[in-house]
Amino acid sequence: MHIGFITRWDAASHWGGDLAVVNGLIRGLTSIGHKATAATSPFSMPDADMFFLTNSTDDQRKNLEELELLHKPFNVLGFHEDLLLYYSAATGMRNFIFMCLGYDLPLNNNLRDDSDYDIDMLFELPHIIHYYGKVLKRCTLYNHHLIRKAKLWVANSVTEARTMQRDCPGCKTAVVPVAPGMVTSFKDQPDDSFLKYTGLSSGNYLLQVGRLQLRKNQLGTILASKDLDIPLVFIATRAFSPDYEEACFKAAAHFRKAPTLFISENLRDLKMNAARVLFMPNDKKLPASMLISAYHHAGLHIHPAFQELPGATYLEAARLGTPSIASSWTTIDDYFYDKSLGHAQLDGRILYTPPHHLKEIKQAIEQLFGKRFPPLENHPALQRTEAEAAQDLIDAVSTRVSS
Amino acid sequence: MKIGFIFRTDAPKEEGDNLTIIEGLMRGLNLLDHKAVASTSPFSIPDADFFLFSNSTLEQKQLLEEVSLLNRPFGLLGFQEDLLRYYIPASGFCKFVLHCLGYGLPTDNGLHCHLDLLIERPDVAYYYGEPPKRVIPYNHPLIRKASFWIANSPTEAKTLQRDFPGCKTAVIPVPPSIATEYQGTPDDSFLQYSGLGSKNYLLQVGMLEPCKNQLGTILATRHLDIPLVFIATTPSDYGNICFEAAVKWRKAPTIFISESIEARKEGSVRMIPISQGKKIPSSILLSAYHHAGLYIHPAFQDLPGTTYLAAARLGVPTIASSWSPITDYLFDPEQGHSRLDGRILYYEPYRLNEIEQGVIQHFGKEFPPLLNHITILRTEKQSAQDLITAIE
Repeated sequence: MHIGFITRWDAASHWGGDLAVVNGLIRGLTSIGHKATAATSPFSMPDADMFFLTNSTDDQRKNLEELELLHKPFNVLGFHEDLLLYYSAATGMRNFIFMCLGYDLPLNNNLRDDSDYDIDMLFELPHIIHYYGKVLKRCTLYNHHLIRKAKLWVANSVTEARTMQRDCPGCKTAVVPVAPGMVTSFKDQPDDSFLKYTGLSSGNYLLQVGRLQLRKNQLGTILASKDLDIPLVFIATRAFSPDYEEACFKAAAHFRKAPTLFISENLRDLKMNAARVLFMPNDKKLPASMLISAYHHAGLHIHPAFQELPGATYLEAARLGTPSIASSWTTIDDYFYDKSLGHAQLDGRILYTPPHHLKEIKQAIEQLFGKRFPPLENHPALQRTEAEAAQDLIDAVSTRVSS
Repeated sequence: MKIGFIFRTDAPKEEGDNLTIIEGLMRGLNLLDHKAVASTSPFSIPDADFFLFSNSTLEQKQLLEEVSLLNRPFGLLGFQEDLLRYYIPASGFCKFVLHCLGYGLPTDNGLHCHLDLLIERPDVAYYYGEPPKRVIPYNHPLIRKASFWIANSPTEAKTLQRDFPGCKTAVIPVPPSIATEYQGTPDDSFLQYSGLGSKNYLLQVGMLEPCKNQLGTILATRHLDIPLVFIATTPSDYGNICFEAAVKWRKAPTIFISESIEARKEGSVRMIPISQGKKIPSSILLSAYHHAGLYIHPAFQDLPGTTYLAAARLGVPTIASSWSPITDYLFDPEQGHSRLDGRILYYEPYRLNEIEQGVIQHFGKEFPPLLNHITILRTEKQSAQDLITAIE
């Protein structure tokens, strides 16, 4: 069977976890004898027998109209964000911090607004972010009349499947957990290339990996760790929102006392107070060996994201024995949940906090920073292969077709 | 002790559950030999020993500054709305319906707003809502100095604790007001007034406002051949939207009754003024409840929703909102639900299909008056005593 994956239109220039998953599935499908290709438009793969549309919370009308014209069956490989849960909160957190940094934002409900915006309020009243949020983007509504014709919606966690069923009532869903990608290919002892590149020492920094992006909540990391005397490193590939990237840098320079290092594909060569930007070597994505080195030597991996589906970065940190502060709003706990223990903390190496509860995040950092755990090798979430994920995808589609 | 209640600035000309509850507490306090007065400003009652602010989800900065200058202790009688829960869907629901009515709101990126989308995807309301009004952060620096916070249900107390972490809360349930005053059999004054038949109409009572969701009632009942009556205290822009929505979508008669509207008729929808600008007499209101085939109130927010108590007391089956804390009042731990003997069904306020099914299932059922429930038996004096105990 020839399966065509429709990826984001900016896939060629902007890397992301969704593309890593799609690439893994393509490799897996190829290894079990199917043909799989990816493009940003269905018209580029007119001979595909079946399509998987990805990123269903982006505006997909154009792709859906092309699919309609091609008369081919299609499914959705979601990365279906729970906008109702996170969008207003994430934009509100950003807006509130913007105001604390002196940016002007519109008034709300014509109420007089002579408040002095103080970052301490965010610690005292975490839910304050909800008052500063934006109206939800309406992409799922725009897509609705066409996307409802999908045969099957593939989620990568049970939680994501529930979100799909809420947003497209009556849709057929299947859960196909992702394979953990990078960490499965890693076999040897990580080297110290990251320490040499940055000048940091082993076990002595906080690490967050991922595009500087609203939903990944790097601002939350910066603020929660602002009073801690621990260096903070962001490894960030090219992102979509220069405002947010710039605000992260400003916030780090303004609020954090300890060094903050942005290893970035996007930001210019900047230095302000204790914050600085380091370009990625050779202006390319960090090599896998250096990324693994960064995880391995981190004193703590932190990722208080408002949304992640499912959050491969947690799998990588767990595999390498680095403790993590995870967000209770991501779906990674579906991967790590242990029925007999009744929690998803593994051996205590992962603590979960809501993404906007800065006080709790700070306490969790203090509790976990510098602890070492053995590499996690035998957990089912880490042993899963790309071929298994691909086979599950084929089985889900076949079941749907035969039923 | 002299207790000064500070209520909404529009209290002298408006009505509302919150004012009814304050009046009840004042009567109860007087019975207990305390002095209780109410005003819209602390400066009007400078000799009060203690102040109780109401409506903590309104902007209260100026009043809080006055109390600060008077140097007197104060508490909060919240009516603390759960803005984070209801504000976005309530405002979004209204806005989406406005789109469907063809109002000239900005074009929505090519999306044709149609009522079917609201039926199929009830959560669409969230995509059109406005962020909650920012009163909580505005009041916060001063309001956090309150000595304690009174909620009228455990659910409201949880909201208070979320919105003001660390605040001291006490729960004082409200007495059921109008329903307790009623002793005999209601008359048929409402039937004579409206021309409707007994047990042959749907009823919703309360101000016409987005949080009470009269639009939800109109849309959920649009296909049903049952008259719908709104008894509403205040006309508003929202009331006009409700009128238009009823004209466009409802087939059966819809009647808006208020003491302060002008007579109007369009299609099967009428606005009828009553009692020449004065408060609607209790006897007519009781008559309206008593003869209704179903009481419906799918509110996004109500604290706690005394209209449910009035309907239950009079034996009228009810469609209630699962978002209202009235479930705290009627919850039976033995049965594990708040439906009493099945006379109340609960639905989320924006799930129109489910509400419609509930109306079909429940309309016209007969239940005996609810006389001996602990909630119905509670008196104003008991509430006042609980308040004094909480203060002391």
